[in-house]
Amino acid sequence: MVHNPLKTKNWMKNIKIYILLVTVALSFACSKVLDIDAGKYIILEEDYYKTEEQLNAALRGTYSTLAEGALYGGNMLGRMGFEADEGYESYSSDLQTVGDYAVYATDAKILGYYRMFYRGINRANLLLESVDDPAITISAKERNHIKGQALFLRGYFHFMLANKFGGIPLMLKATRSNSVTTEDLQKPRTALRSVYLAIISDLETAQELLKPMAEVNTGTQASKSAAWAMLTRVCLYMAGQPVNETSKYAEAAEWAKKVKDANYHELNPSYEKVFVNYATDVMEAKESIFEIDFSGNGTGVFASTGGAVGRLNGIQYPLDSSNVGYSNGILRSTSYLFNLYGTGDSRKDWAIAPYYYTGTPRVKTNWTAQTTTFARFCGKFRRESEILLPKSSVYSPQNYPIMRYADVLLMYAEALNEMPGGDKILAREQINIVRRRAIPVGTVDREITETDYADLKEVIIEERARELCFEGLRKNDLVRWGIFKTSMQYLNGLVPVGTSSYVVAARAYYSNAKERDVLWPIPTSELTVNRLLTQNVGW
Amino acid sequence: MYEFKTEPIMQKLLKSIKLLLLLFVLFSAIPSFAQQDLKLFSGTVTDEEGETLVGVYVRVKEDTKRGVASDKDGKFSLRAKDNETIVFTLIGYLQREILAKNLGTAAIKLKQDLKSLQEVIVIGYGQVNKQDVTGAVGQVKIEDMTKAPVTSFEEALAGRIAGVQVSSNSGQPGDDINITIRGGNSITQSNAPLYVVDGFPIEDFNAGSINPDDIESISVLKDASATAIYGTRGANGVIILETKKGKIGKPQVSYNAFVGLHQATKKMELMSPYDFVRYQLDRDYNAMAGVYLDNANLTLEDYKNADPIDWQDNLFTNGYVQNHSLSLRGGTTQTKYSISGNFVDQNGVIINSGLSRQQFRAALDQTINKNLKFSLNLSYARDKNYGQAVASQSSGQNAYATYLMYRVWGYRPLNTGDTDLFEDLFDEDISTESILVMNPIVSTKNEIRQQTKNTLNFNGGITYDFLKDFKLNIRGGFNTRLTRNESFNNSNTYRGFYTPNNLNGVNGAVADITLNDWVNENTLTYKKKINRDNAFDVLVGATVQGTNVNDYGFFATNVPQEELGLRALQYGIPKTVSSSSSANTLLSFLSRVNYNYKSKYLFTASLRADGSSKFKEDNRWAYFPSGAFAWQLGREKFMKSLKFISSSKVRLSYGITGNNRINDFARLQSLDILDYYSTTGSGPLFATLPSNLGNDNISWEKTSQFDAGLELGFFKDRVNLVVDVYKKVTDDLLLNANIPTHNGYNTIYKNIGKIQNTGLEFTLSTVNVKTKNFTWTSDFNISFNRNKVLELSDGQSSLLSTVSLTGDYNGTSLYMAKVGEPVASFYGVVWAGNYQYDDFIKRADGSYLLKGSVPTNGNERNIIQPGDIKYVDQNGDGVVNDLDMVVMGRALPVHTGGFNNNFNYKNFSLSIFFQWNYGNDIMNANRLMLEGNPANRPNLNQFASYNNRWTPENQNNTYYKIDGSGPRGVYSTRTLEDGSFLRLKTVQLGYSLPKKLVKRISSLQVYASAQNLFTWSNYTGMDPEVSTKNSILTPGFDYSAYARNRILTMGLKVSF
Repeated sequence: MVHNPLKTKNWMKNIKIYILLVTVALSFACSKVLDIDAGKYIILEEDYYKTEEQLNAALRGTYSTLAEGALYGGNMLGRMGFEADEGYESYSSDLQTVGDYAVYATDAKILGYYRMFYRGINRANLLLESVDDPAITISAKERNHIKGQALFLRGYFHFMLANKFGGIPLMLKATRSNSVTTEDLQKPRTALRSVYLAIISDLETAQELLKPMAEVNTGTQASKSAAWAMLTRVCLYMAGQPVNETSKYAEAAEWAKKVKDANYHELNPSYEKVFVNYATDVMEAKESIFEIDFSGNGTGVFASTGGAVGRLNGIQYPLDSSNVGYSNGILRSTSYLFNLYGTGDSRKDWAIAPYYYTGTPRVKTNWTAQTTTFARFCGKFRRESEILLPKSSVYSPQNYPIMRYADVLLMYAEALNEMPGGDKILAREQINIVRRRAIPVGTVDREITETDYADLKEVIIEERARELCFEGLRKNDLVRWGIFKTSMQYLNGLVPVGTSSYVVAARAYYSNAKERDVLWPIPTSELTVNRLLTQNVGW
Repeated sequence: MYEFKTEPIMQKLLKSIKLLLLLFVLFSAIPSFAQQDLKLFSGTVTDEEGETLVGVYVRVKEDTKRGVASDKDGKFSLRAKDNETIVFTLIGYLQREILAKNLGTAAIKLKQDLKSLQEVIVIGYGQVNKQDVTGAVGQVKIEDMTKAPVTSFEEALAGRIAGVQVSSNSGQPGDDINITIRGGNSITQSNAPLYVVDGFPIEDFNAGSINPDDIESISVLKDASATAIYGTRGANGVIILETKKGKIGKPQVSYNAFVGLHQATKKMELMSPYDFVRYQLDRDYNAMAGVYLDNANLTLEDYKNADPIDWQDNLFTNGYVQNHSLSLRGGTTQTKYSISGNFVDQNGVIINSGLSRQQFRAALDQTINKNLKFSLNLSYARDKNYGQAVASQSSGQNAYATYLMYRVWGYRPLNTGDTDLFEDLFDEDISTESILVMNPIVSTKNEIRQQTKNTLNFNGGITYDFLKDFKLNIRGGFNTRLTRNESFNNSNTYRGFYTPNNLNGVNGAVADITLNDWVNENTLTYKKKINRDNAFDVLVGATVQGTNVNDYGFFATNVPQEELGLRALQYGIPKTVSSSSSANTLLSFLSRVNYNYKSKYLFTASLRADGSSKFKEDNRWAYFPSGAFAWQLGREKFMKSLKFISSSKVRLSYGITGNNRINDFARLQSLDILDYYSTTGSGPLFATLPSNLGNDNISWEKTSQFDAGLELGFFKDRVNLVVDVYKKVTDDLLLNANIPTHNGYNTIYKNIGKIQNTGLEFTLSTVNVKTKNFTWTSDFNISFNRNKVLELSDGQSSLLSTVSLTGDYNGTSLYMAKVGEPVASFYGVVWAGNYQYDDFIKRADGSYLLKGSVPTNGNERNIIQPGDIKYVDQNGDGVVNDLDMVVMGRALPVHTGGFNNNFNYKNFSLSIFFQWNYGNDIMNANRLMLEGNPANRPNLNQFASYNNRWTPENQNNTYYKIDGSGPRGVYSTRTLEDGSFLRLKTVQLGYSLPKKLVKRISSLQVYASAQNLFTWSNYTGMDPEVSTKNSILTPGFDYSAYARNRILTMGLKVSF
């Protein structure tokens, strides 16, 4: 067959056609077809952080960590046991959770807290690793300010983890996809003292880079004052339990003094107004040194910028169509706090609401005397104060304080009282500045007179409760003073008998609290994926 | 009333068909008139038994232009010269050639082609004779399947093939149907099979775009030898679907139509007005007496006469369906064509839900010359489904109470006031404007939820035969699908009613998703027989495929002029605008060799190389080899002595396949603008957040599968048995693995972990009775699949999963995947009835305190009372909590299967099909909320079973007392039920009219059929085939599922 020359020619022709066809087909199929430019579809990390605007957007992303529902956007507003002896959570959904001190290593809110702060740390790290890129057109001052804020936030996030979990994996580098191996992803806990030193180092660098508050003019952005004030807090915590590095008291006093010496900060003459300002988005940087911004009611484009301040930790107000504003009212005060306030102290009826609502239509009724001291709602964050209408039952626009000038004054007093050779008179004066604002002229006991160490310490313990209750600080204070267990036991004795749901909740809260609760357990799910971690004592 | 709204359309269609027919007749007639000097020959064609054969192609061998088809009586006439040869061709019959002058007057008999009876099976990139198959390939008996009058073929697939598990999440029209072949391989990624439709591989196939009537064949490739040719997409199995093409013969017009009635198979029994009021008074006498006993002299007893309202009766409705298919098919040896259209309109069994479809398909096969053939397939479908998603929450607040069925079951069963409960949005007698008392029926009627898919598919190619043994095939295809999702909530709906909870007010959204998919495939086959004993069949090919997805949408709130519906969105306030885009490409080379020695020993080896854009350049290529051996034992001499065994074959295969179902850019570290924040005190500005960590090293997951099969035929193949045993190990699982979250991310895609599926499949087909007038055949299949986790991420010993139900439960793990155990088992606490008086110390004041020796249920000891729910304290620490959770049930069935029987008596046919699942449990979460009312909501109705709750007079261990539900967020064995079922799935009775009765048409069949006629099950919920939160990790969860349909249909199939 093959001998036929004509056939051979056909052979050749066929082969040619075949080769031609295959070539055509494969021209589609050259391996270029597999190179898809992903940068046209998604924002690649390697392509970002290249302009000032991008740095700022990433910075806002780092801030927004604080507003997450797992943190100040929800759970931290009364659902995690931060109120200790000044108040407790009474919310049926949170029974058998960290909210009533039934703490387990599997608790979802503890896991959320752990995850979210670390997510913030990673956001800060990605930004910090790019901010110095000389190719970015930006003034040195702005670059420093951005870097300072990122360091401030990274320090604060680590701090919030360290004061709840103890030693933690210290994350000073961003996690990147090109270096992902199992070894990289697992990390042991760094000793608590070293974590604190790293936090102080971040904040110290930040305070050099940041703009002064006089320029920033808002508590929603970190400033030199915010860094100084936070350094004061961190030093106090480090000086107290469990690290007990008492030399830090003197450092705390130094940082607090820097805030004072800025000659910018002062207290708002009205205690009430401080919180109404938070509810109405009025920036008052003189008192509010650092705060978390929440905006809107969930309508329009900014669907998720609202928070839950006042919605969770406000005066219970059932859902209806009036514009008072819905609140779960999950936080109630204790008789301990109720009784701390002296006559005429304007803080009492603001911090602990003297009234409640019932019925349809809603009737405002005043609580009666002593028996109800465990029933009163936290009144610091009232939906009534809000002016943004309509009020949503899901989102509130109220901001939340992280650092107020009053706190700085009280910390200054405490540092002076605790440090060797501290000026006790100066300490007393700081406390009195805070008291004078709250208690009208002419009231008995308006100013304290104590200058003795032990007396001053007692006053500070109580004054911090009066001034700063429901601001998420109390449990940490009790822990660092080493009186957490005894305080909770004491409160357990104060809970009245009865079967009202709030009494049951209070009893659970105070009887559940144990010695081990000075720290939270490391979340179980972390232990299973990070075998280098160890669990805290008692869990 | 029900009417055919489509008559004008049908008439128009018929007219067009007539016109087409006319054109065709003219076209084929022209050449024959051109020849004047020819004689007219005519005759009749029959089969060997004398039955007339319709559509036999009769042509003159010497002149291909002269040809006709035999008519409905088998008659033909054509012009030819005496010495020309007349050729008779009909698929399934041997071709016959007769000299024209020898035609005579006797009928021309055609012999059946026994070879053609040897079924041809479509496999990847080719087809083989059934007897030569070396892999495990399941064939769907299309005839049986289409007896279930369903609008989407997937619905009828369940129980038809061993090893193929088909389940629907809820039964809602248009809802996803899950097909899993031989158990799930992948823990966090898709387990859906790859579809190949007319040669076009589609990962995300829209089954609604194809009319079951248009399906010629469905092959399910199960083992690695069959699927490895699809390489990186083959691991989940492959379903190859071929549509009907034109056949040689005269034009045949078929019209199939059915009308049907859908009804809910079951209603839940709820409390009567009397029981309901009694329950309310027991709950909270003071408050409830004010509502129910406020008139003087009104007592509880009076409610025995109250008119009950069963809201299910207002929600469920008769769903009518009509389905019309019309096709025209035919062809000559040169040209084969097929045109078909389909129209479906179906109302769901829940008000304001349903689906519709309009579909058109055309196929053309044209021979260009001796060597070159051309083919084209074209289809367009528009399918729409609408209705509220019954099994999903309407709001994140109190989510459990926003599911439709909860609201329907829980709505007050009587009217105590002047409200028109059927028209008004609120039951004002019990509360005003509380969203929890919004009438679910009114709301459902007012909601718009619809999804429309427009699917257009082109697929064409040429085949070039050369050098005798070679065949080159070049094909290209393009598939585009536009999915539009629309929703609108007016002020009479749950989501659109303005409250402080819902400041969005009237709102709506539109989203368009465009999916474009193109493919080019080039294959070269070489078939050679060397002497009689050795046959080779070699395939090599190169293919390239690309997919591109774009997604755009917007959501508007506070929409005025709501009467305009979706049209009014323009006037609303824009809330979210979304846009995203993605793309991937795949380049592959493939090869396969079949070698067959004396048709006794069959070998197959294949290799595919896949390169995917989803992976980094230096690990983008992967190779998937497979090998198989089959031994036709039956052809060995020693088997011939075993007379009762008529055929036997042993198969062995092994191969590796992959799964690459991850996001197109999952490997890359990326950011997204996902939030807003203000650091200035003025309005928020956009904020950039890291969104994906990425992992450059990821690659596909690999599944290696070993399969051994035995095929036996007994008694002249009247009994056929196929047994397959397999073991699949999936390695390098493409796992969205949990990582230590101090890294700033929760998960990362990793190739980690290992899972194994082992199984056993039996398929038995028998011809039980075969006489002249009566036949009875049966098909039975059963499959056992066991899966086992061999390894999880980084030494993790277990993986817990939750389902999203409502706040209290969202954090509670309900499923566990544990190394050494199945990939999903139910996990929770063991229910121990109720606390009884014995468990308490009676105090002086008459109150009860739980004994110290009795463990608590998780609530505080001092508040637990007799009648409260009780659980088993596994670790003996006196408190029931997370530490007492155990594996409490199987989430996956032990075996599944189907049993089909066909009876034929004369012109009657009867088909009865059963389907079952055995051994799996279901979490009946409806009972959590509606058999005890754990939130103790006032005026909420409950299932009638809760009448038997614990009271001091009725101390029992079944239902806890009012407000005795214990701590929230606990799943226990109390609501875990056996989900085994046996279902009489399809019954069809058909009657074919005798040919004598129906002139001018070639066949007419009428039938009546029923679907889901009866289900035997101990499950107390609506239906045991349910999985409302379906994933491989979370199967068998039931909360507010769409009711299953019982379908009664009458249909007609006619062709002429």
